[in-house]
Amino acid sequence: MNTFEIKYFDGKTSAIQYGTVKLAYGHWDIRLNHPDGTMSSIHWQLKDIKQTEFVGNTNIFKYGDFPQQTLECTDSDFVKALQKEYPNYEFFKKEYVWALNKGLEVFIGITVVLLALCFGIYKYILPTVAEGLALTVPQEYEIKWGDMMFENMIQAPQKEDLSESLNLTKNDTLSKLANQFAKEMDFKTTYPIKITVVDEKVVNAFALPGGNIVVFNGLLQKMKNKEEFAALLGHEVAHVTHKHSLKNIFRSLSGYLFISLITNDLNGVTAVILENANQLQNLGYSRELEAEADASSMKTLKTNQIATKGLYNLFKILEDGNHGEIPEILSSHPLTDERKKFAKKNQILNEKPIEKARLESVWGEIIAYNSKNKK
Amino acid sequence: MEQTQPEFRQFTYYGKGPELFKIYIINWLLTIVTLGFYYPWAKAALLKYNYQHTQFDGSNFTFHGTGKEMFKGFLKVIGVIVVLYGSLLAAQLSGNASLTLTVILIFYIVLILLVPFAIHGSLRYRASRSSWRGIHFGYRGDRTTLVKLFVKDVLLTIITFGIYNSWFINDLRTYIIGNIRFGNITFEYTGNGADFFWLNLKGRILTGLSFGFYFFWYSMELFEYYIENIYAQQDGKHLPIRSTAKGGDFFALTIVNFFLLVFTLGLAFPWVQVRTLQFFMSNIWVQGEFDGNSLVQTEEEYKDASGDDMVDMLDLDLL
Ligand SMILES: [Zn+2]
Repeated sequence: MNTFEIKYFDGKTSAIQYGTVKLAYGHWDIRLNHPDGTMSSIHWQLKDIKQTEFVGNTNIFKYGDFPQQTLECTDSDFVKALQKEYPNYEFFKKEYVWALNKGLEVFIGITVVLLALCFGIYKYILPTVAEGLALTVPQEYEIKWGDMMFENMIQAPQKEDLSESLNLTKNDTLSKLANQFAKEMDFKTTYPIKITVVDEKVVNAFALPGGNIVVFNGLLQKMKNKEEFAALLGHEVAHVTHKHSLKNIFRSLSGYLFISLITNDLNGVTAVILENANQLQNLGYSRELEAEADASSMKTLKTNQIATKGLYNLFKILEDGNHGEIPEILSSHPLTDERKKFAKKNQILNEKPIEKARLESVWGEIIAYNSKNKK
Repeated sequence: MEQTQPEFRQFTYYGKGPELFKIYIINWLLTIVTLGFYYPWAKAALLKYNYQHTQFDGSNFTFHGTGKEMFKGFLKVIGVIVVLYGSLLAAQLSGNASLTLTVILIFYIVLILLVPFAIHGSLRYRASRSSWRGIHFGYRGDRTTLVKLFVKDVLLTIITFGIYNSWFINDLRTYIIGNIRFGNITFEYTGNGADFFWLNLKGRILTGLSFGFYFFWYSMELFEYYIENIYAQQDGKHLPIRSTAKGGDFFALTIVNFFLLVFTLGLAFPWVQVRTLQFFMSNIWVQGEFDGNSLVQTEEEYKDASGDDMVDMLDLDLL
């Protein structure tokens, strides 16, 4: 019972030839019936028969070098006969036989496990790795990049007509005063802190990696006490010290790379959905960083013995004036109720801060400058 | 057994969602585990499946390519990309403005030249690895000719602010299809730039006027124009190719596919692919007295897979 009906193609023409194959020792014996009633026979040596796959219920085998001969057999017993006759010979790729014989449930199971695994990696392992990588960037590189970004954004005050679009105009006097103010405080940081005040009505401030901090004069003008400014600086310096920008960049980049890797072979719709989810995830992350910077700012106020109500007052100012159009890529500061609660809970009531004459006098100069130039 | 010769022969795709799903899952798993290096094998497995489940005149197609062949091409492509982007980055970091400008210029020139190289390589490879009833396809175009045609048409398209694009596409199709062989069957493309231009203009205007709805009908007009301008010729007999794809059907297909993908977060992709291939294949017909038994092997063996991945990397879509 080792003979099966087949279709045969000789690789020279497309003519279908009908015949039989007999599984013999070490070779297949193929007999073809020609339309004119004659017959011919061909031997296929076992070692030259190519591995192949099933297509539906058809088994297809290729033989020899280019142009290959082809044999098709639809008899379902053929595969069983092959295994019986040549137990040591692999006609089918094992993994394919395995895979195609498993039910769909197995694959759905694999998919679920894979998805869970991907999610776990994305949610728990990737961020840690990304932050770890961010921390390995040498400080001098960070400072260099920060300076490069800074120079692209800030302009010297002269050409005012050209500066309206993207570049911010530096206010020299206020910047000098702000730096003097910062010098009087201890931020416990190894970064060279450089503050730049720019003439913009926007009520906001941001920190670049490496130590540059940009304060919009709109925010400064709304401040009434030095502790508010100190709280702001404490917050921004914390962004610098804890490498928040860098961590943010590494995190969203690694998330993006990871998503590209897992959607590599899939389709556009999935990729778009996942990439948007990644961005949402990063929004949540920036809240985490804000909280860290707030806590750090509170600590700075305490070590410098400056009134801790400054942080809460700062939030009130930001809340009133926050209709700013800050570029979103920079660390902007989403103001949330939790942040206000934190500031309120942690401020020391009835505190008696030590009077700091030098700090007070620099702050006085800032106030004086702004009220003089206010129209 | 095959005495009766119907006037029309249809393509059929009979791949199944669950089977394709298994292949996708295996591919996906291995691609992730190998950090993307399994890609050529994944692609080969998919092509094999899709070819083998496409039938014409009672026999299915075969894809003979292997992951190993394509992996070599894949490495070459990665090499080219690393060199290209590496030099661009190096130039930018040097801070030398004129150097940067020169490198950018070279970058784009190389990129434009790479496209026809990739098309040529891909066609040669893909055609040589495709067969039906043991007869291989072949692409006999000349690379230099294609590069010249491509560069000339790119320049004309730029000069004419894109208007020449219609002629560009038709020139490419005419050259490529005219050089495809399937055994002793030859092909010819009869489309022309002017017709194609008006077709596109009309399609775009109507799409705009109908708030995008006409897009589906426009797409099918483009498909029909492409398919119906291909003529196969066997032993002097013309075999026109016809499309029966309707805009309304394509609209329904797209809407259902879209919802399938969105509600399963893309996991229904294999089923979407089955539906799409079924739709297009079942709408292509070959007319005339085709003799499926009399094709003769005419192509020689061909070994080089670098073009195929290049086309993928450049996101070019060849049918
Ligand atoms: Zn902040």
